[in-house]
Amino acid sequence: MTGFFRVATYAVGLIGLFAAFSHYGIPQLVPEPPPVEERVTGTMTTEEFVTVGARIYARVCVLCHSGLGDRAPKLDAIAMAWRERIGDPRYRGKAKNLEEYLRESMVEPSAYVVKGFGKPGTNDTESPMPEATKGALALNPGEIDALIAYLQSAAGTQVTVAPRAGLAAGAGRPTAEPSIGEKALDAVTALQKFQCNTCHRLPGLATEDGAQPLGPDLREIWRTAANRVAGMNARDFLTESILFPNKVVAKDFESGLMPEDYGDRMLVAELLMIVDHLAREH
Amino acid sequence: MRALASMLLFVLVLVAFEAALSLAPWHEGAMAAAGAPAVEATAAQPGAPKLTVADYPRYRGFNSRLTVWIAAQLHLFFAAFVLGVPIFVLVIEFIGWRNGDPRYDRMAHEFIKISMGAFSLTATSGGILVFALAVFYPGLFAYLTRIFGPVMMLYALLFLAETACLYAYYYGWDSMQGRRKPGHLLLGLALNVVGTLLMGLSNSWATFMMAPSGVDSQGVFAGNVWVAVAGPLWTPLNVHRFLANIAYGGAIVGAYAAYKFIAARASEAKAHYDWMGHTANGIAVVAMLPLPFAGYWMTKEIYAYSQQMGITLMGGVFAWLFIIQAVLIGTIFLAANFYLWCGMARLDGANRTAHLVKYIAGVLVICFLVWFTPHTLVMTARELATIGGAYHPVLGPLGVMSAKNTAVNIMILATFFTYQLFRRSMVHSTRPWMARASRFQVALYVAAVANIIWLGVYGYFVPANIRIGLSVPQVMTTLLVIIVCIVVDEVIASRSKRIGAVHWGRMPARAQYALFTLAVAFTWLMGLMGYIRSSIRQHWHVYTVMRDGSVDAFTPTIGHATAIVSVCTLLFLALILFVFWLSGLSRAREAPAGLAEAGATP
Repeated sequence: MTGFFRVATYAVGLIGLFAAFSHYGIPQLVPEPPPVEERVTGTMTTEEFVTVGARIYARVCVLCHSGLGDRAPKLDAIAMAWRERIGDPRYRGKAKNLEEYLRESMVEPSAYVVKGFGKPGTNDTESPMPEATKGALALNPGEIDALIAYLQSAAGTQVTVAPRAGLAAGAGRPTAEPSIGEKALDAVTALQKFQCNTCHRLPGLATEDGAQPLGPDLREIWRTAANRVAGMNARDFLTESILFPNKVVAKDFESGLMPEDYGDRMLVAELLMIVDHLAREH
Repeated sequence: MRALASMLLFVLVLVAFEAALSLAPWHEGAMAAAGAPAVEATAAQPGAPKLTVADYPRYRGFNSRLTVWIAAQLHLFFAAFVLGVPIFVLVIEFIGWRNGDPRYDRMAHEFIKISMGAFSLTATSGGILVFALAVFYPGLFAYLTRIFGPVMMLYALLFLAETACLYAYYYGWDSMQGRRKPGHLLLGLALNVVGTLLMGLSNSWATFMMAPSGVDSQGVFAGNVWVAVAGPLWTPLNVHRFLANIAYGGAIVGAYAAYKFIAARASEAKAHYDWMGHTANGIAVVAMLPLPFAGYWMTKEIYAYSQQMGITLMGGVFAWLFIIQAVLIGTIFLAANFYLWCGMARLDGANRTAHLVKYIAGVLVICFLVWFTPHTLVMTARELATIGGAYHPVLGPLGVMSAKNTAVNIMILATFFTYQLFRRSMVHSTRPWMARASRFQVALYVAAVANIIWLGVYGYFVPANIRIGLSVPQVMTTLLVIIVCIVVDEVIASRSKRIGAVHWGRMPARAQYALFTLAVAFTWLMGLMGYIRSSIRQHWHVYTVMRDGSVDAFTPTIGHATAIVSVCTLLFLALILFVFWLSGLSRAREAPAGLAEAGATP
């Protein structure tokens, strides 16, 4: 048995070493959450519109167009380069100005492939860039406009696109259905959107202390959420309490008061924001 | 019978879920009951469903993703083991049959006996995986079933065929000796063919989720299941897993041999398990040598399918995981070489070459450090400012593929050189042409290393697409050296006199820990690479076609992911220890004879 324990200890120690290196020898980056569709409204200012474009650029484009120019062409000099490119005999597009060139580059990337950046074996006639309106990117027209606005702004030229309201949503990503409404941009807005403060006292939201709430006070829920149900951590408990509110009902409160349709009405991002907000110490 | 029952259970679970979930009315009814948005459909064929949080059942005490993750990983560990072991068992049995040495036959039998216990756990973990997937991810499982239904039925039938072949192969071992041996070998071949087909079919589900084919952008299935199976990543993944399974099987049975070696008291038993461990280490190393190239091919195909996915894999947040991979592979190379170096103590003639070991160790460490050097990393602004750019000013050039390809090829050559030293230590060249042949081998090594380094340096001065192509002549150079040296060594060995004997069992205990290191590092590495392969889909169940709408549709941090990998590794090793214990219970108490001073060819 001594041999067995020695071997088992060695194996566990080795696994511990690998795990420890992965924890402490490697930076613990927090990956981006799943992308949600950016909503563009007709009332946005140009500055807000460019900010939306910058956000999309940071999420979608920067991995390849990183500024190093090794994976995809740099875009900092695009204001000068586009004229040269549409005059190149290899150009197969129809753009007449920078806005059209940028839009064409996103929806039809092979219209012009910068030398050295084509798919291997295609002699720079086919771009490896995915079409921005399809597949994993699936940007909607409003997002494409916002990106163009950002790229024009970053290149120091006049922004020629304006925000348009009511543009079609892209496929494949959670979209704000008409019944769901505008996506809340932060947890407090989400709590207000779903009128959680009507029945609960909530962190970050002012309440009238005199009134008797219909639901439990959630301002300190982060202290107890992890211990409410055996085997469930705080996030799981809060998620389940929002989606299936009658599974576990707090003492002294009635069952059946809280609506059970939040799973249909909430966007995933809103649910995550609310859960994060409630699970965090305030 | 326990194993047979588990396998039948697995098949029944698979068939039952396949039948139940492929019924579209059931699925749509369930979705409607859950309050899910209507499944997007065309009049002819429904596309991939668009799922919301409500479409994922949640059960108290279970985290859906973790449950499926752990079940899938354990199934993959066991499946890799039980598919890999019969391949080299067949080869060892064939060698024993051809050279008439019964020890090979006995060792092959013992190897397959170990995997017998693991077969039932493979089936059990597979049943749990199917169950968990259907329960926690019904929308995804129904969609996959709609496309791969016929493949799943074929898979179930092949699983029964695999079970039949395995039982006939294992239980027929003693009765199918002598004139019946070719029939037994054919049975082993059938077992491996069916096993490889099984692997290929199940791989197609994973590669479809990564790079879907046979469906349009909305996930509507065109109707040709073969197109869905043979997606762009299917063949590279098949090749990669086929090789990895052999290497993994070798590493696990090596750990078994090491454990038995440490526990053994009798010198005959120690000799037997020493020989077994040496053979298992050789299998693991030989199968591992081409793995980096299979990995490069797989990555190249990922880039060809989607540059976005490729860059996410190698240049995004996942890039750091390849630093961990480098540490693990470096550990494996060093452990395998350390075992071989220790193994020289078994040879009377090893002192002629022992002084070379320190140089080989130096080369391995330098190459490991080059491989370990990151390329472009996701950094904070502060880190970027500290380093002065995305690359380290001095070490940055070592991070590119030219340097890494060069390093890995030289590591492989160094490992092969260690193995060659071991074999050459047993023979004494007696004729002048043998000395010339040895000098030719040295010249070949020097020329090969020079060529590999030159190609690596040349890679810095050519565009990226040409640079990637340079890895091919580098690999060909490495393979050429290995093949030519094996041929020359065989010719020399067949016409030389042997120096002394191989003292099997004359091996320090610390060398056995190198075998445990191989098993642990291989298992952990498989868990890590499996995670990377699966998670580069990010928030997609089926990339670009079917989005993950669950609350778990986010990429975990590296620490969280590797903690799960560690848990899976611990669980697997605990279960495999149980299998070792079981195989020991049924083992005959006969002492393997005649090996301690024998010259069984390593």
